[in-house]
Amino acid sequence: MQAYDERRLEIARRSAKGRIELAPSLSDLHVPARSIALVVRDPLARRGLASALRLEGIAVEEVTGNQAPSGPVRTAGDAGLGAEVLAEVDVILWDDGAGAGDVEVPRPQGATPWIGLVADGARAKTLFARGFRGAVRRDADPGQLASALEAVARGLVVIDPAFGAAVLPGPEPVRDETLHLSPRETEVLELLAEGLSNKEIALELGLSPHTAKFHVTALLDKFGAETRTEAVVRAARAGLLTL
Amino acid sequence: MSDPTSNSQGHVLADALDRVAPALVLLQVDLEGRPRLATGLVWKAADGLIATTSRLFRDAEARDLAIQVRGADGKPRRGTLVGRDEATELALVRVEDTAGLADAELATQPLRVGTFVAPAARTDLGLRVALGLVKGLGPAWVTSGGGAVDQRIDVEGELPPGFAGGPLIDFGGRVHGLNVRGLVQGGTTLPVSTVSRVVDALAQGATTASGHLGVGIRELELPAHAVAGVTPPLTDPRGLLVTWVGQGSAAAQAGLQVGDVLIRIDDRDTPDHAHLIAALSGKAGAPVSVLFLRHGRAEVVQATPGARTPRGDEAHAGAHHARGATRSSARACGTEAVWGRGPGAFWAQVARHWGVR
Repeated sequence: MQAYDERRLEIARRSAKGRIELAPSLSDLHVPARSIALVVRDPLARRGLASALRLEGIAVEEVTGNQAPSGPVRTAGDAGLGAEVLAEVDVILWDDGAGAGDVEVPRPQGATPWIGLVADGARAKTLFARGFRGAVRRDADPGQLASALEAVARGLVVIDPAFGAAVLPGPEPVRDETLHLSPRETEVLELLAEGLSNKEIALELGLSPHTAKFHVTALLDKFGAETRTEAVVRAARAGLLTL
Repeated sequence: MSDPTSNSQGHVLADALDRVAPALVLLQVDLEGRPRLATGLVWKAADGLIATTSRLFRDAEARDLAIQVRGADGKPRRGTLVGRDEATELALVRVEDTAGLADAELATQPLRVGTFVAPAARTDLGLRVALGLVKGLGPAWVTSGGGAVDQRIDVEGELPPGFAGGPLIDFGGRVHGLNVRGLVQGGTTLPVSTVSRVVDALAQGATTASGHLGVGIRELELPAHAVAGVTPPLTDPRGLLVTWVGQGSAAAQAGLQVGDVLIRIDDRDTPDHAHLIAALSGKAGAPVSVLFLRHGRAEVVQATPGARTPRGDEAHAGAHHARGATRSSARACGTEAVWGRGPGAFWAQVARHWGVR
């Protein structure tokens, strides 16, 4: 509870400084305010990104001191992120640039996760190899980016699907998840497809009406169908019935 | 000069309800001690036939069901279930005592988008009506259970509880269809032609179950060039790829093969399983024309769907479907190289082989 109150004070404080536009959802109990540090060389890009993220209700920490790192950034320190800033931010957002592949990738250290805005899958792979926790396309929309930041802040790893092929291992061979029916259920299904009633099914298979009804209900459940006819259609789609 | 305080306009719908009231009934069944109620519409008073929603009889064992039917006079009469078609959510009930029951007046003018309509019901609290309008009309469609409906009628508003099985009337008190709840979210109206067709079939004891071709099939997206020559053109560019043909089945006898892509049965397009079921509904023993693609070309054969596949074949077919057909049929399709690699790869290869995507 105390942590929550502190967060609320923080939001109020930052909001009073005119730094964030509070989206209505931020006043919800369960959505913590996030603050991130931007490490973006180009000042225009940095300002644009900061505005866009603030509109999403994210507090963007303006790095005091080295705002436009001129040399290679290998650590948070190189980027001008001092200890006190690192203590406050949840995520560090690194702009990898528009595709100049020779920009050195920083090596994240410490507890604060880094997420990168990258141009292609190869760079994304490099970032992850260095210890980044997220890679998003540079032209992702602010809402997506905000979601990615939230996910990384919560300890998840975020990969833009555009980079999936480069970053993730190759796709598994397709495994057809055929619904498993017991032999008895298959028998009942065949009779269901003929339009037989529970009683008729019971007679045909030598079961009690109660047992037949039990199997029919089980089939409806397995196929997620409301009616017998729907179950037949779904069974056909699953390759369990011929037509 | 008409009296401005007469409110004659205000009673239009009340008057309409009065006109349909003699055809509105309340049905009750007792299932495991608990009563279930629904509205029904007298479809043929002379024969004591009443149309209602099949949901009233859900989970119920048909034959020995006790059904109570009440008309305007409130007097309960015994009814028996003639039949039900769950694919269209319709059921037919017969009463012996037809006193006081009258046929509803069916509409002669078609609905238009914007026509004011009213779902009507007879409940245990008396007559009820709601106000709606036709917000859209669409072409024939197939329900998720494979039922064929002649027209899509979209009425503004959700169907209120107790109204399923009752008519959709206009301000003249004429019936345009029967309302059912489960086929479409919020309820939908089945046009009179569809209700008539199903009621007639049920009354004659004809089965609405589908005739059986004996094929295992799988949906397939068709590229434009594959269906370019088909007339009338397909509205939905999908077909059904035959993955298995039962020995001696109607499909085998008609000459259909693994790899063929079914696209139309008689005049009903078959983009998916539900549509095929609808197209074969009631066709057991009746010849149908099957339009299909083979080697990328459209061909037609005549087939006579049978009653059902011999028992035990389903498991056989199912295994083939999962594995990707037998090796010999794979050879026939030129897909032996990918046989065993999994159904996804197999069917992609078949599709490429036959020139469809």
